[in-house]
Amino acid sequence: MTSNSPPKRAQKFLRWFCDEAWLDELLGDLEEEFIDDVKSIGRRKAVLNYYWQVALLLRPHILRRSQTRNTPIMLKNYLKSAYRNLLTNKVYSAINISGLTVGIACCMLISIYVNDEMSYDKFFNDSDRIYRVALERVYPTNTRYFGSSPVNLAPTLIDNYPEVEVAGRLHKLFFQNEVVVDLGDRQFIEKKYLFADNNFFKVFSFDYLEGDATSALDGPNKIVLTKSTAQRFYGEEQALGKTYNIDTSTYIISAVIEDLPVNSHMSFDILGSIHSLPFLEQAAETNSWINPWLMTYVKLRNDADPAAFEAKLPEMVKSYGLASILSQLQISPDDYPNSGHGFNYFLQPLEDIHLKSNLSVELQANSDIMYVYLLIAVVAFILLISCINFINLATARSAERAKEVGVRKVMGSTRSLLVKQFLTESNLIALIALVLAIALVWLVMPYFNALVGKELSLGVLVNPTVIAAILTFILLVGTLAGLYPALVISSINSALVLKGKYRTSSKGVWLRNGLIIFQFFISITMISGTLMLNKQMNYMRNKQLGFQKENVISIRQTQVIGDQAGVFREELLKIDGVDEASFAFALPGEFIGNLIVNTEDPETPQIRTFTNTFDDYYINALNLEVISGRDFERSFNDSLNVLINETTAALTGYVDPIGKKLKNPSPQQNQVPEFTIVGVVKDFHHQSLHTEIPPMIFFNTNARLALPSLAVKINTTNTLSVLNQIEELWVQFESERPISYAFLDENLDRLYQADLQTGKIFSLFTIVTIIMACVGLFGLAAYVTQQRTKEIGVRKVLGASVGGIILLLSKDFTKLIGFAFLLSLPIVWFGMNEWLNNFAYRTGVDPLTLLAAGILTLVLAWATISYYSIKIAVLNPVKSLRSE
Amino acid sequence: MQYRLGVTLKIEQDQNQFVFIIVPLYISFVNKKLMGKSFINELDELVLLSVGVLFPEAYAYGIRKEIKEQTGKSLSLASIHTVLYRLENSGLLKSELGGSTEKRGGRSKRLFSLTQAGLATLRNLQDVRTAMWAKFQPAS
Repeated sequence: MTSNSPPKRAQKFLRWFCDEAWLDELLGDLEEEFIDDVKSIGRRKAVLNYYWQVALLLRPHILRRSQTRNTPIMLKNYLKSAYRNLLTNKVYSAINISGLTVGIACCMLISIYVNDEMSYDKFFNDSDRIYRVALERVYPTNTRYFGSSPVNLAPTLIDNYPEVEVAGRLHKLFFQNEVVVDLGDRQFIEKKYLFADNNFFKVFSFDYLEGDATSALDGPNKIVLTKSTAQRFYGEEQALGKTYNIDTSTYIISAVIEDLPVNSHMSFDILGSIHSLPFLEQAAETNSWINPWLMTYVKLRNDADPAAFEAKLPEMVKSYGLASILSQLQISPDDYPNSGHGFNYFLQPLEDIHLKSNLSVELQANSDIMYVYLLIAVVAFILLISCINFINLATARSAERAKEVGVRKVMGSTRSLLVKQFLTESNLIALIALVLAIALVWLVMPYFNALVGKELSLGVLVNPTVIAAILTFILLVGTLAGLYPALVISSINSALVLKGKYRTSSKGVWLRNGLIIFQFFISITMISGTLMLNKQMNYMRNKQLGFQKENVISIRQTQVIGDQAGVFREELLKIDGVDEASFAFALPGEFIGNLIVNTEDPETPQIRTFTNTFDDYYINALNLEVISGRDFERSFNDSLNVLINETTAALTGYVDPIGKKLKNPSPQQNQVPEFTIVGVVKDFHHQSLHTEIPPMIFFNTNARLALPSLAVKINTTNTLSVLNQIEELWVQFESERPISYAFLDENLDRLYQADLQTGKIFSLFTIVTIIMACVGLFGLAAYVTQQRTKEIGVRKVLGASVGGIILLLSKDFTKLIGFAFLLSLPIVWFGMNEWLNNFAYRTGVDPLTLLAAGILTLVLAWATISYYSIKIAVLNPVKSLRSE
Repeated sequence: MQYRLGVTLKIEQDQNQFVFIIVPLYISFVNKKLMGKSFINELDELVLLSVGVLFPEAYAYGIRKEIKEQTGKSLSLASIHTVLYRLENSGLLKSELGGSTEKRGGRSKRLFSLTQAGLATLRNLQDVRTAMWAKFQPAS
């Protein structure tokens, strides 16, 4: 290269992209400039400048045109031949298009679902710097994680930590799920009634329709309604300034906010003030740091480092909370480090709460990121299977396409043109599938919504970015699925084909078999997964819970009956069909409180027990079993006596617990210091089967006042009439407040709703997977049998039976499926064991279930291919051998 | 024109992406409208003038050097080429190939010259300016 000549590579590049019309003059101009540059700024800079100038020339009007002019014509040709090919073999096209349609539709559904799951709480302003302060509470015997924290945490953080911009509090009533709101002329039972402080509105951004944030909840009698609640209460009238009553207190509406979007981890209709709750006020006054009674949300400053802030929290507990903790736990400061008690606070990013937080106290059941990952994996599998179908069918068809390719090659088509043609074909199929998939998604959306319990819509797809992404994705799928067949088929030697010597390439067979094995591996894995899931669900629903859940009606809000409780119960029992009725603090499945007790022996560690309170009839109403000692009885005053369950009995270490004491470690003035055990109840599942049976203590109601829940055991088939009579009776006792009842077993089923839902979703997609795998197999069987037509004919002439031929044809596929089954065994085994470990009470991974999945798949596959194998086996050999 | 409109219409980042389709369409529409009325931008004017000055030896690189000499602004060959291409398309310039020199490796140049319309546009522009300057009394 002489010093005067411009860089060759840049020139070559320019020649490549530049249109002929401009090339010569541009090269000339550039060279002239280059020579001037070499003189003025030196060769090195001149070369750089040359490159730069060439790069700048990449403009639309300069780009090569000859190619783009030809493309539309060729594209038209490709499209035409692709269209004709689609029509030539309708079964093949239908299988391909429907397979891809289902794949893409599933993909879209799941994407919309996952997108919704990921969007939780992101609509709040500054959601990325809002955190919830959660508590890791270490007890001597175990550790619990709470989403909630003590009442004075928020003020302490605001006052002492500059990185906290503001901290707000939110409280959910633990024991009472319903609040009765009295508007004077009407009453409403409100189920989404939360409590917040005024700072809550500084942490979270809301839209105010009436009133504003500054004073929304600064007094105990103020409340905030959501728009829909305000409309429900007052119609179109202004809600601001109106009042309503709860029990005897009057509350005034100080703001109306826009309804909260569904994709938030919190949901409420009414926000009361936390200052209206006496126990919170008292806890704040005594500076109690032991009870995690409300959620604390902090908004950190822009420049604050959350990790550094989190690291300061242990110090905070020591400085501000330790005194309270020590006095309430009755531990001396020196003993505290070794007492086994710990209060460790940590931050949960707001945006992560919905998917990653599953703590002891949550506002509502959260989702799990594992499900999101699983769904993504499932949908990837489905898409993969539909692509595999595409590849398999295309390669299987190569014998048929070979002649076409041969002729095209002879006529002068190059390999790259053939590849382009095949790719056009596959992309066309993908695009058709896309259109159908959108229609399909639109059709099934309502059912899918019902299944997942969300309100998703196709609306999110109408967004330029998403549309571009979908199109790119579709073209990618089309290209990937079409590339291998295109390369294989276009490499066919045309001379051989046209001489008639070409048979399906054996090269492609191992790939095809591999892909089939993979497909069925996924199918079998998913089928056995789903079977196991259903088995676990059935196990949970049918497991003996230790009490009678059928034919028990649970009536809520019964505390309004007040001192009429005894009379009400007597009247209830008079109804024909009512066997027993019992007032209790909580029925199984409902929230219960807990208590720490000491035993008589100071060496025995403290026991953290759950507590429930009920009257003398509870054991009988729920068919619980007292295995030693006695039940609560009317003839005794049991107010100082307790029943315990077996778990508690074991933890106390008492050989015979009857008559022994349980002590309250830190009795307040008005509390009972110790209780006497009068009986041991056989363990039963008060809570869901996700958790093990905890130690429990049961107190007797000492006053004849009605407790919030009433269990009514009925014995009749005519449930409706009993319910009507109960309702009539209720009206006599409580005319204003409507009765609220449900069947106990329905309530309990709700505990497993999330699991049931997941089960349904997985069943659905498993069915889709297996259908798609079978559809692919169906298409493949068609071609394989077609190719073996002559062979079968000869075999039949030589005396092969129909059964023998069907067996012969099924053998190959059976081998592949068998192999897939072996592959899936370990994966299912370990995967399912992992999943089942989530449950405290679980079935084992059952080899029979796995075998069932394998056999089911095999039968389905046999059924699929039987259509063609029987067809060919019964075919008269004259027909198959006549030609040639 | 493209530049000015592009700048005047402030596209806010968080605006819907829709804007990115609509705005260019709108600009090209407006450009077409304005082109007919022979509004040209400063760069167009400079290029036209250079073509006039350099005639009959006006070609892309030469124009580039001329503009650099007169204004001190260094433009890329590509921008000059784009402007020339556009002005030729709108009928203000015409071109023919010719005049190769040794320095260019024997390659031909595209020589531009003003058309009647081009000349008229320049004149018109100058007249308007002179008239307006005459009325213009700078403060102080």
